[in-house]
Amino acid sequence: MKLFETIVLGCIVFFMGAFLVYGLIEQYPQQVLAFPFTVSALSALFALIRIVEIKLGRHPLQESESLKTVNEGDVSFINSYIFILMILPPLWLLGFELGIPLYILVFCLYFRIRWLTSLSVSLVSYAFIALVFNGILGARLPRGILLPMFV
Amino acid sequence: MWSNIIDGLGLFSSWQALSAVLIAIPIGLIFGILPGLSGLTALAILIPFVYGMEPFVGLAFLIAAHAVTTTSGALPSILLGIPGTPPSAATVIDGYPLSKQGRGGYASGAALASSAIGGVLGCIAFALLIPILQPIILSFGSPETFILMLIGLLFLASVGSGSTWSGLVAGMLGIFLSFFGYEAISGIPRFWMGSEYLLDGLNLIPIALGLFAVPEIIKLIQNGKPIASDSGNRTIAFSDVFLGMRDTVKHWITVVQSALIGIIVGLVPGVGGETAPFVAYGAAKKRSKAPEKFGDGAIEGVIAPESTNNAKEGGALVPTLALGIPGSSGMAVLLGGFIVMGIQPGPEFLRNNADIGVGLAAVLGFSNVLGALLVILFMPYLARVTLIPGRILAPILLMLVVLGAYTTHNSFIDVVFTLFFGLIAIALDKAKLSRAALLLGFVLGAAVERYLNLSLNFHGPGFIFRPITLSIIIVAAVILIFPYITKLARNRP
Repeated sequence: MKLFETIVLGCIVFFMGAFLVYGLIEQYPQQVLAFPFTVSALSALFALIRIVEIKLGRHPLQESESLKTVNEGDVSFINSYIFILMILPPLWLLGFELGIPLYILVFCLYFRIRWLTSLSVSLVSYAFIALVFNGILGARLPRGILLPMFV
Repeated sequence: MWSNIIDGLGLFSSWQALSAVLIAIPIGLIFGILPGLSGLTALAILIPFVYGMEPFVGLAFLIAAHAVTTTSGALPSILLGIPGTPPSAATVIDGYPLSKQGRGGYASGAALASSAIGGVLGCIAFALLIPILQPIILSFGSPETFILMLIGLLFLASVGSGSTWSGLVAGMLGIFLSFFGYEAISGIPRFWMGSEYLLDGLNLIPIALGLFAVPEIIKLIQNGKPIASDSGNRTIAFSDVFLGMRDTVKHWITVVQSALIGIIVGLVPGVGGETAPFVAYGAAKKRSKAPEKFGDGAIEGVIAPESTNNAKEGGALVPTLALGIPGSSGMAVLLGGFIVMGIQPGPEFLRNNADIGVGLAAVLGFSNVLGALLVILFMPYLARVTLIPGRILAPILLMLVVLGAYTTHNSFIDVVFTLFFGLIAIALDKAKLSRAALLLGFVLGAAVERYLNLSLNFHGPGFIFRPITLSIIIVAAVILIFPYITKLARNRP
């Protein structure tokens, strides 16, 4: 975890540094770059202090903002994140109105939620989008690229 | 002052605001009762839905939902021994033993009554403190506003996860993310790399949703099981609930004492809202005639933390609205909500929108009372929400997240950015870097740069030596250093 924290801190400093170099290449005026430069320099300094703290073994044990009550489960973090990313293809292909209920149905069935429950949740989500977003809020949700080809 | 009060109450009593509050309260109650989905997640998910509303209506919606999360958060603490929200953790100590003795209804009644009374006392404190602070804060110029914003970031960094230095790095990253797009004073675009999306700057909503909602969805998918097993004692008799409420009134000194602790803790940015209920619990135990009962089911042990929890929200709104300094992660996200509604909290807010402040105080008090009443009426049904498996909740929440991300600017890129910031949030969490500090840095970034430029242009580099600016710096330094000094003094043999 020490190594991971150091890598993340390093990435943050690198990210800011890279954009400053980009700003210099693009020849932004000094007034536009002065404050970003100050912020980046301070970040680098604070990150360096923290890295020294880590090397010295000072790890303040404070509670994170996230809750600790939910136990680690049987699905890895990477797989969970992939399940979340999997919502993008149906949204892009079928749009929000059909893509989201379909995603919910497949998601629930994959995790062995009962057929009836999965279908009910999926239908309720369809009704929610149709009533609240299309009806009440009047949102213009995209229909995806596949649907206009056939309908 | 009187005109502000009348205008504020007028805003609160409009049908749009009342409808928004009535819709927000059940939503907030459900978020509060589900462990893992705190008021913070509720705010992040709900902010996109207020986009386009009237400023007061949208803010009333957010504040009402956020205020009642701690009210219903008491239920799983008492009935299941699992805190619904982090501040409800202290309620478990005596609430759960009472539930195991078959007195869950009694403990719940006391918790809800003390939540409602504490919430109302917090809102009264908020309404009283704003007019007192107003003349002082109205004398602030751009140098003072700039310093206050920097101090806000510093306070949040000091209470975030991990070390203060990590919190500061996260805050600086947040400020840096606000640099994309047009610079406020010169109008010159920066770091946009030829992308029209970046030309307008990064949007707040994808960042807030990614940082605070996506990680919770990942946890729900990982865990999968219902948050509560069916073993909890959820049998509740209404007569027990009313007995608990009656006993709360009997222990009114504990209620008031705990509410005052909550208000004071809320007022001081950086103390951290999660600690307040434990402080109140300790104080209640100290003044109790039977301190030995604490931990085995003393009713004061339920009343004290619950009164504090709801009272501190009123206290915490004072620095958030009057100074633009959020004292907790929740208030940092709420600050984002204000920005979305086109309102910048701080001295400008008191100058131009004092009526909104009064109206929000009324929303806070009303939500606390109505929230408690609704929980009493629907307690058995609300407790059942904890039986929904995480893997059913996860796609439902994801639906709200993607719809919220898309509909604010009708941009699919916002959805992609939301998921990307979810990944960033996980990395930050694992590296003990404060997500709230990052969000606050982003929210304040543009204003910090603007006020710095204005201060330099009008007062030169010596602006920090202006008497008011210097006084603010000294007061902030004392508040920041004080905990370390007391810790050192305590450790001395």
